[in-house]
Amino acid sequence: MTDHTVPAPGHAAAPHALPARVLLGTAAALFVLTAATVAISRVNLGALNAVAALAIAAVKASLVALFFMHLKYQGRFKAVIFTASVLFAVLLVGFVVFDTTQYQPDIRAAAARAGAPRP
Amino acid sequence: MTTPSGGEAARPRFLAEHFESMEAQLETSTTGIWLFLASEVLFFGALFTAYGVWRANHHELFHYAQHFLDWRLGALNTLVLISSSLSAAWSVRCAQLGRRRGLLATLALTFALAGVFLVVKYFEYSHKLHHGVTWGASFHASEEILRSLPAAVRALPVPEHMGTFFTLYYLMTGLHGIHVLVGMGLYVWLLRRARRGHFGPGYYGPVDAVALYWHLVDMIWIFLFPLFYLV
Amino acid sequence: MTTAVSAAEPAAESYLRHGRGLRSWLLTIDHKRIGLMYLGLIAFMLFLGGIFAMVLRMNLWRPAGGLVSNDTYNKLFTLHGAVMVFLFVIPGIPAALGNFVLPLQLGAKDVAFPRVNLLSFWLFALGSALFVATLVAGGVDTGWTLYPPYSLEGSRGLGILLALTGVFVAGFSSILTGLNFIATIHTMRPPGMGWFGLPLFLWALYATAIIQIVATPVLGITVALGFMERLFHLGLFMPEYGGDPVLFQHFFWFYSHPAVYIMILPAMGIVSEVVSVFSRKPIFGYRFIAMSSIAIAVIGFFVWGHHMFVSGQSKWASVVFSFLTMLVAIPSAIKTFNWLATMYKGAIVLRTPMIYVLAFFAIFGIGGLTGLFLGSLATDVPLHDTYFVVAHFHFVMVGAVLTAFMAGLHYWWPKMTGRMYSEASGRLSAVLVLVGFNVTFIPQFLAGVAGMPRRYATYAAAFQTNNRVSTVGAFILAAGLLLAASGLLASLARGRRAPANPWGAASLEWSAASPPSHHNFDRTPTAGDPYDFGGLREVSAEAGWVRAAGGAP
Repeated sequence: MTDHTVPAPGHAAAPHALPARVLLGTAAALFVLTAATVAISRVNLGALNAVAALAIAAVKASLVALFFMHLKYQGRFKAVIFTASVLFAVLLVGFVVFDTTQYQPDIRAAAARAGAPRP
Repeated sequence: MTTPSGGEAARPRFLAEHFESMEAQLETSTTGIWLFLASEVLFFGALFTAYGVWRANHHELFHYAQHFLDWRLGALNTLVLISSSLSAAWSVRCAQLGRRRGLLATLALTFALAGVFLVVKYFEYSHKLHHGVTWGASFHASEEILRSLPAAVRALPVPEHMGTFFTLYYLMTGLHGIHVLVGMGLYVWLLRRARRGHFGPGYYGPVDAVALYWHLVDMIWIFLFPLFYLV
Repeated sequence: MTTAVSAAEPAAESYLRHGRGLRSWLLTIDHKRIGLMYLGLIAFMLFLGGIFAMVLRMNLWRPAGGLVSNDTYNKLFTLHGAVMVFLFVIPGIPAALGNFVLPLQLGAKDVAFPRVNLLSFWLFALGSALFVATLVAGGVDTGWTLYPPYSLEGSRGLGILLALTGVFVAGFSSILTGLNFIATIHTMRPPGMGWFGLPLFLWALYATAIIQIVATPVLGITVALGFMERLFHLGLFMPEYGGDPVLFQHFFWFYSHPAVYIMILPAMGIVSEVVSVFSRKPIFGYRFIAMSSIAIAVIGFFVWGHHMFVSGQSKWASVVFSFLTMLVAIPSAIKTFNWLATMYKGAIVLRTPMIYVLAFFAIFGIGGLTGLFLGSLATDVPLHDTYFVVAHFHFVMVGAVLTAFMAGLHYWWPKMTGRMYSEASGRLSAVLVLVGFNVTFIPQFLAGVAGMPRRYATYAAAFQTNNRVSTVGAFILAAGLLLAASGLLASLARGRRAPANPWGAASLEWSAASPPSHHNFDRTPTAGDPYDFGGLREVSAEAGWVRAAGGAP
């Protein structure tokens, strides 16, 4: 079986193929960052542990998006779509978490008044 | 199926009827897959919101319950998924460069690594379910698994809402697992087409699209791993 | 396609005749046929939801009710709301009219992903069937919002599960439609059409699609979680298992508030087209109208908490949401003033679509302004859960969307069917709808301000006059809609053949035949300014309008 001859586009074939070292380098960085996130979580930093883990995860996700998903080399529109979707997700998480921490004391107080254990 | 438009010999085999050129078709399919990924982000975004709500109100629950999960298995699966992502990205490169053997090998490797991920996940799930580490109101951890926790953790009082932690765990890793399963199906499809020699520098849209999906699945796991197993 | 074939009599190869038999319709990937199938299904849902509404209104004729049991009443208003919202208003304009018109306005052969489009239709059909099945399974009495804990109580059975699954499935249909529309508008614009050469209906569909893609997944996961909460007691939403019902409301309104703009934005798109064509004047403030669509779509995501002022949301979140809500009024007002400026000194032609659009202005004005009362924290608290809210959202979601839908349906009907409808019945229907709608819902505003709570089968005797007037209005509204439907259907048999361009419009869909051929255009047309009416003149009623100097046919 041979390749069906699909006429290649006018310009040079495979203009977007990423160099091998970019792909390997990205994977290596991801491995290192995975090790780093595990290592940092072994140290007790209190609330900073979660911050550090999320920050590293964000860096890793950005590497995946920029290189593996070649967002860095694609039209601006795809980056806009993806960034916007992440921002909308952050909006949802942010507002809801803000609100829930605000009303939680009210619920606990009401439960305490009613003498019931907090459900 | 599209109606065959007949006798135009110059028309590429995989060019759908309503497009003018392969470039236009590729651009459209890439745009479509990115839009789909955007909706996936929000799909998981809602679950991350639920996670955030519980975490913000019950720090102690997360510090306690994470010890029911084995971070070594989580880390192993992280490495497996990153490798599969590399392999998926490589398959796109092979298709673009017209390297058919490399394409077949990387597609098969991606599929196999996805399988390894699910096997590890299977052992994790079955161990927990066996010991009553289940979701919501049904949570009833066995004495045996409680004894296996580190001494410092055993000294703590068992927090409220243990079941909800595992609801979140099963929901988020479960939905992710379903995505892995779908990805495996897609890689089988790609393999079959690649064996027939469908892909090459002029037509690699499906390989690229599936790889993009696969990277997103990897990306979600990159967040799930520390949020559940580590912090 | 060879020119010899396309030069044959156009009617012989119209998309309606391209392929015969049921199969050629049910499995079609032609966007025009899919649009028509959507139209049929959506019209049926409007009819079904309308029947429920009429029973509700008749039950409210007497303060004590009595036509149906209170339990049945609760189930009827739930299904009325759910069917109308999820199965008529949300998909109505984008899926039915949008599917038909979008590729035509782009001069394209089809949408970007025709097979996905067909899948989207069948998902919608399946979701609709699941909803109708809840009727058989004993119904659901939770209100269309499906709030837990009430909706997920242990005693609930198949009904709620079917309803949740129906929303889930229909939601995917909506996501796929949005995805298809954005990809199509982005990559399949014809030569000569830049971003600011798009007809405004497409800008509106684009903005709508953003919401469909970003918001709908959250609804999908929410109803899926509700489903699992009911079956497996997850402890996410139900307090008895440690859950938080307010979380459900956050999720629900993160979708359902933007969903209001899924409903109104395409309506605004139709208005932008019709008001320009029937004023014989280029649209005023094109860029402002286009950008305000995007602004509404984006700002619409920042305001969902105004539905939760009295349901446990914290006061700081309420203050922020109340402030942000006021921002949405700005782009809506920008649009309204631009439409009015378009009409100013125009040569207004009062054909049926234009009369519906004038009705839209009146109704949308009242609906939008009463929204400010509800977005303000202080006034919302006494008005919440009264008939004021019912009247407000009916003005926006029903009055405005329905009049725009009818305007669009009459406007594109000749293109869809190749037949002209009767102007006499069309005009009368538009007037009946405008009068009937206001007679129905203005008394509800008054009852609401006086304190009549919503969602009860019975009411205090003091509200009897309001309710009776409202019920009479509902019959006038129903008569108007039935008249419109009969006028349109009669045109299929008796209507005069439609020319390619019966209205003298300048956007690309009017350069295709009426009805278009299977491939829409014989060759990809070159786009001009969609609102440049110069050079168009009416040859005769039969031949329609043509460009004077050798342009497109």
